[in-house]
Amino acid sequence: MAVLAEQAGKLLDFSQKLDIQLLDNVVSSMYSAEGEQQRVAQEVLTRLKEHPDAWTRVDTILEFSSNQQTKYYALQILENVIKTRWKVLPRTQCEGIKKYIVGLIIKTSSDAALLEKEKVYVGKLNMILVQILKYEWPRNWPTFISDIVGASKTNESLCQNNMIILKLLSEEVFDFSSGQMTQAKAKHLKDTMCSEFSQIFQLCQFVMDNSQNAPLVGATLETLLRFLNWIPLGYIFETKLITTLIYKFLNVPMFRNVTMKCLTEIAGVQASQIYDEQFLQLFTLTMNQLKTMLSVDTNIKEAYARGSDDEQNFIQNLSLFLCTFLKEHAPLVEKKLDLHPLLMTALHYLIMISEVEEVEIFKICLEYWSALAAELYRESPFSSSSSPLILGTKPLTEMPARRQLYNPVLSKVRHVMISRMAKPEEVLVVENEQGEVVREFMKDTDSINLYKNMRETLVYLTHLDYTDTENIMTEKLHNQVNGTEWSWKNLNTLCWAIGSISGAMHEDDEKRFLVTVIKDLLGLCEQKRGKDNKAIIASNIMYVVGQYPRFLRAHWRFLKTVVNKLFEFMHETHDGVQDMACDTFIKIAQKCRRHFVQVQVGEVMPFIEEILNGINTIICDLQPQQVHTFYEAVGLMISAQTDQVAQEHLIERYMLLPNQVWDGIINQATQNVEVLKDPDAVKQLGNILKTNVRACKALGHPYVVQLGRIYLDMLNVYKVMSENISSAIATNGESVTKQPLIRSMRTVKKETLKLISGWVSRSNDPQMVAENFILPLLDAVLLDYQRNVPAAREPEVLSTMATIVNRLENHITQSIPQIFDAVFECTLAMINKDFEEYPEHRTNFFLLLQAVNSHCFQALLNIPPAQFKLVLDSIIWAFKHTMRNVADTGLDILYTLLQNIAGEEVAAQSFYQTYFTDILQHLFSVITDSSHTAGLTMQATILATMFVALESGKITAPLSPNHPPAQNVAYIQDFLLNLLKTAFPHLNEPQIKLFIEGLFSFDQDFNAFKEHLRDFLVQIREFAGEDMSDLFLEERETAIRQATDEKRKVQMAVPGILGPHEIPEEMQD
Amino acid sequence: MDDLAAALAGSFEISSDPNKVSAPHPRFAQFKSKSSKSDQNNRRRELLENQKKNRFDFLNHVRKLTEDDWKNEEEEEEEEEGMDVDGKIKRPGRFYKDQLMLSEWLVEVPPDLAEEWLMVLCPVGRRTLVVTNKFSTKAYSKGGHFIRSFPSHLPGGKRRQSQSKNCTVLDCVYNELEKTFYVLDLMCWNGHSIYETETEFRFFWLHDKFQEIPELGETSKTNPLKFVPLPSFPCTPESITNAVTSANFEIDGLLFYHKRTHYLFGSSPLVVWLKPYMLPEILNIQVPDQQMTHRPEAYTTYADHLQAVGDDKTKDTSTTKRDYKAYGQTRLPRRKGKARDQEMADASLEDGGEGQGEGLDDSVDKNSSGVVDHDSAASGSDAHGGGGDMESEAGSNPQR
Repeated sequence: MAVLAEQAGKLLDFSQKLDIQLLDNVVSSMYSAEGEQQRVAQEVLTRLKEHPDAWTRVDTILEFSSNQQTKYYALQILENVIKTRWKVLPRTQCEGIKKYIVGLIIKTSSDAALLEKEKVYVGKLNMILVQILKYEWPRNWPTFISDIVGASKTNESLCQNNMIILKLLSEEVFDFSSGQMTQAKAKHLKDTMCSEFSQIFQLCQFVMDNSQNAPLVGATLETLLRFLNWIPLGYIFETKLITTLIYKFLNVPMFRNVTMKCLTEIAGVQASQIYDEQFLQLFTLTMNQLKTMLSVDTNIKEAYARGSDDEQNFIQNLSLFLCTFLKEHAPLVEKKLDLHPLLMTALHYLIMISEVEEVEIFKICLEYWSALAAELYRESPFSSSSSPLILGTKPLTEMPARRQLYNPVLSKVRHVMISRMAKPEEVLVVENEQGEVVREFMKDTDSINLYKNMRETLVYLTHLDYTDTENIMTEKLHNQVNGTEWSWKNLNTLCWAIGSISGAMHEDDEKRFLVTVIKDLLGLCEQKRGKDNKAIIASNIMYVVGQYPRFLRAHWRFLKTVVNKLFEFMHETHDGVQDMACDTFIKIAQKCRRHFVQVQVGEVMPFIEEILNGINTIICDLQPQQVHTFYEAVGLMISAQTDQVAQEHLIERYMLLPNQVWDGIINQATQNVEVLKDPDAVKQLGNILKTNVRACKALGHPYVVQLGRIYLDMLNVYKVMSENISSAIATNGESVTKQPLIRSMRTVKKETLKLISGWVSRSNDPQMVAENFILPLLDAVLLDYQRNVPAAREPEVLSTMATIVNRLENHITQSIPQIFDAVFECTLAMINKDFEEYPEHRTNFFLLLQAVNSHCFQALLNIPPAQFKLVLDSIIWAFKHTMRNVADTGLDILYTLLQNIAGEEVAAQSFYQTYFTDILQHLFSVITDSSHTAGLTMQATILATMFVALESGKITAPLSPNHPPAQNVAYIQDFLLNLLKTAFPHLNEPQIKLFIEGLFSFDQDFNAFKEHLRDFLVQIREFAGEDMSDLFLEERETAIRQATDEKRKVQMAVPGILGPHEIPEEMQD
Repeated sequence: MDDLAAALAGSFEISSDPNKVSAPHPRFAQFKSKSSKSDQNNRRRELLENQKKNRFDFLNHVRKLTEDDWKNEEEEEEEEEGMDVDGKIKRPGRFYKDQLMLSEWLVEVPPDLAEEWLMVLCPVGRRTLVVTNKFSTKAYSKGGHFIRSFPSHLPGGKRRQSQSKNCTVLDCVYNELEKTFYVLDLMCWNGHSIYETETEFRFFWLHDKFQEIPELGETSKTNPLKFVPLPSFPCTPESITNAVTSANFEIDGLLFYHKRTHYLFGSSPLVVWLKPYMLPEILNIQVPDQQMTHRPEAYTTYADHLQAVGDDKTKDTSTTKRDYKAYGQTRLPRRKGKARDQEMADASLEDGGEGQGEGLDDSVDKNSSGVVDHDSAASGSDAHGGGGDMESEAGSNPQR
């Protein structure tokens, strides 16, 4: 070991000649040795790699080393230096490296056998060449394209490798350029490549026409594939490229995949009508060729299951081709009657492929089917099967021609969608931080997104012909009943499909359909033996029923029967049945709440009364978590009672049970406070509070009657719990917080806070809240927070305060000093040591600050300067976090603060004087830090605001003691120049000056300002050599979000597209 | 729609236990169950017969329960699944699930009610299995969920008691407010399994043993939750009335135990259940008014119902027949549910002619041990109240 370390010293000593043998040894220990030896080897190699002169050794290593891994290592050193330091290397060195690499590539790739053998090595060399090209081409190496094309003609294997280099270059320039190069540079490279493309194209064509060398042809096709998305269209459509691809390569097994990909790229081109003929040709030729390759009657599902990787890929590529072509150019084909049979063949293939059991392929097909169905529906939003309502007024023959063409296919698509419907909801069983096992409903999983897309498609398909959808579903249901398709999976799938089209049919049709479905399912349930079977069928029945609130609302008697049946299931001990019953119950309560508080026809009293009468019996077999769900559901019903007196009466009876237990414990505790240390009592309190939280969530503001009843006792319990926890920690150390009793005590505290903030955020009378509820809360919670050991401080105290400030706004301003006194310094002390500890306190602390800043700014202005400095420091601290939510909050606060302060004449000047340069400096430190790129937009916004204030003369106080106020701008420019020069010595002064000027000139045009900032960041990183792919992250996020919003707007207009549980409440019930 | 609701309410079930108490009492139910298993008396007979032949290792079962050791349990459930043979003795569940003897609704009044049955008043609370093992006492819900662990004076229930064999298994109702376990039944005491003994003996032992340990009924540090054995009463009308009248806790319902039944698992026709307010209708036993106030507000007798329908009709002549049907649809125990579903046939049946009706109602009235034929009287008044207005639905009433 010591030997190795000593040898390492030699390797790092650049005054000596490099000992290749020694390096080879170290590299091989790195790859083959174990434990300590490997660790030392790795350390040596890392240190060597990081040495600024390491690259000078590369040529020697490559020439003399016999070890492939050592050579690879040398190339890594080289790549590193090119990526980060190319611009600081002397030109001669650059030239030297370039020549050396080119020579090496030519040497290795000229021999076909050697090229094959050294594939990985050459691959790395190619990559390095491309890195060099990004700096050198075209300015320092204008002849690169003709050089490489010329060289290619000398030797087939050299040509093959050159194709690969061209492919890499295309990818670097066109696919991955964003954020890696400044915008101007990327544009320049693209233009150059386009203008010199004819040479490359000729080369490709030459190879395709003449070469018999399979690897070369393969490489050429791969390269061509990369070009197809950017080359001028003439190369594609005004040459014989398409026919060559189809006739010469598509049916050759070895090339069919890459050829199909090329054809797909071409199919995806959006061109004006001038190339219509060529697109039709592309379709016709491909389809005819395809028919000879893949017989039309092939069972693709089975063939895929048995197929090799290559065959499976072909199916996937075929699906991409068909979907891409049809999505872009189907109208062309539709116009040609003689091509209709071919179109049908294409659709037939697609149907067959849609049955393949590979979800990724299915998603490709789904995208097309979805687009097709949506298009056909928008064209003519009427069903092909006429409803009794419009019978006679709209004869069937009026079906649009396109619809007639696609109709037979659509029916098959319906079959596919119904047979494959994805799972609509996912529940995860997890343990929360209090150690309780809880169920969580997942929002965004692959399967749920798939469900949403499939549902959308099926809804459109149902709109197009609901009779057909209904028939298919009914038939498949019969197959469940007669056993031919019976299985749990099939039944679930079918019922998810049935549930998915809720709202898509006319109400009468829907009713008729549902009655049949439910009857069949009930029959099935009766027919099947065994609780497992029955439980599955029962939950499917309840799922379907829960999906159709419109039906339930229209048929009270049925609704009531369903609910009573759910109550019955709440006593069923078979696994999962109680959960299912509670989940369905709350789902129904959400959508039909009003019907439970009205007296229905034929009833003596509203159903809610019956529920409250029997609540004891209904919930007696439920687990606590299920009871909470049940309470929320009943709360939702009560929330629909609009008469205040009646509602209060209901709430009183509703909370009777939990209140009895609560009172029992409180009474005991009044006699002997030790009761509040009894594990059972504490657990019960936690459960009662959770019930209250759910009740409050459901009831909203009217929950106030119940809150008032328990409020003061609850706060007292809070204090006692908190004292218990503190003293336990004081006696036994922090590890005591893991104990079940302490955890349940914390639950009580947390639930108390959750209840209060939950209610305040839903309350609608800020004045009343401020007058009646806030003072006792502050008394109970704040002092306790301040005095407690950090480990016992609940982060929810901060979030509760934030919620209160957000809701009560200026009604709470007078209490802000009290709140700050209690929580500010002690929390800051917990989080200013690092960026990680107490993450929840951290987040909530800044949220509180944000709330105060936005709503109670006067309170901030009035605090003493020392404390204000603390506030500002903590804001700066916030935006320096790498936790994105905290940093975002920090920036947000700063922005609001700057805006608020601008409105305060007097305070503003002293603020600028004290903090302007400080803020600027800290802002630049995060802007130029690559871990903060996510916040770029906000950082830029703030900077722009500050420059505007500066430029427009809003700052009348001198920013520097040495300069008069009139020179503020000049002073800041100077200040920045020095700041940036020190931070980035590799940038030259004119570059920085230009940047600073730009900051002022662009500060009115925000987008330009941001682009300017971003280009500067690329310049910084060219030295720093960091990954820049995240610089555009935010734009991409916004673009996606906008697209989603747009889509949702369109969807809202189509009945049934949004599931019954996604529709905003006010639109129904 | 009515058919659909009827199908959903009736035969739609997961466990196929007949007359289960989680569903409405079949007599008062809104919809008739199609189930053919309502023949409670026959099933009782078969079950009593079969329990003699039952081979089950109760000692081993007690060991599993008390030591929480389920390792050697073979998966025998599969074969049992779906074989809902009447009168079959059920096996207990795995782990703590399905360990209690549960009741059915009292549907057919047994002819020997007064002689062969015992009645227990059941307080409001949660049904709980209590087991002592490894020196602590544990409570489990009906579905087998662990609820809590605590010390008690039960044999084996707290530390510093002699041996781990001293295990005890109880069937209780836990009242959270009173922090009290009301003990319904005793299955094992201090290591002695009495699952396979008759009700009378188990009840005797329960009271006898509890008398030996008075501390069980007091709250203390070593016995934080009280245990109170529930008394049983003979099933004569006077005794039942007295018991109900003098109960000192809120009655949830009445449990009737057959004297000869062993302690069985799951629901059994040998233990049956009634709500207090059902007593007048089913057993023709009057109860204090205060009990009747507990009945659901929508609850009416058949007589009241017909009256109500009649009144409604005169009030609003535009009401269609369909609305009458809807009117009768309130869920809660209401005897006439069937009048709507089975229309005339049943309606007339109620009209004093119970004898020829279907077995169910038949047995009820015949067997309500010679008390006044309350139903006939009630229906009689219907005829006056509004029968004439009932169109075809009730119109046939007076004629029969």
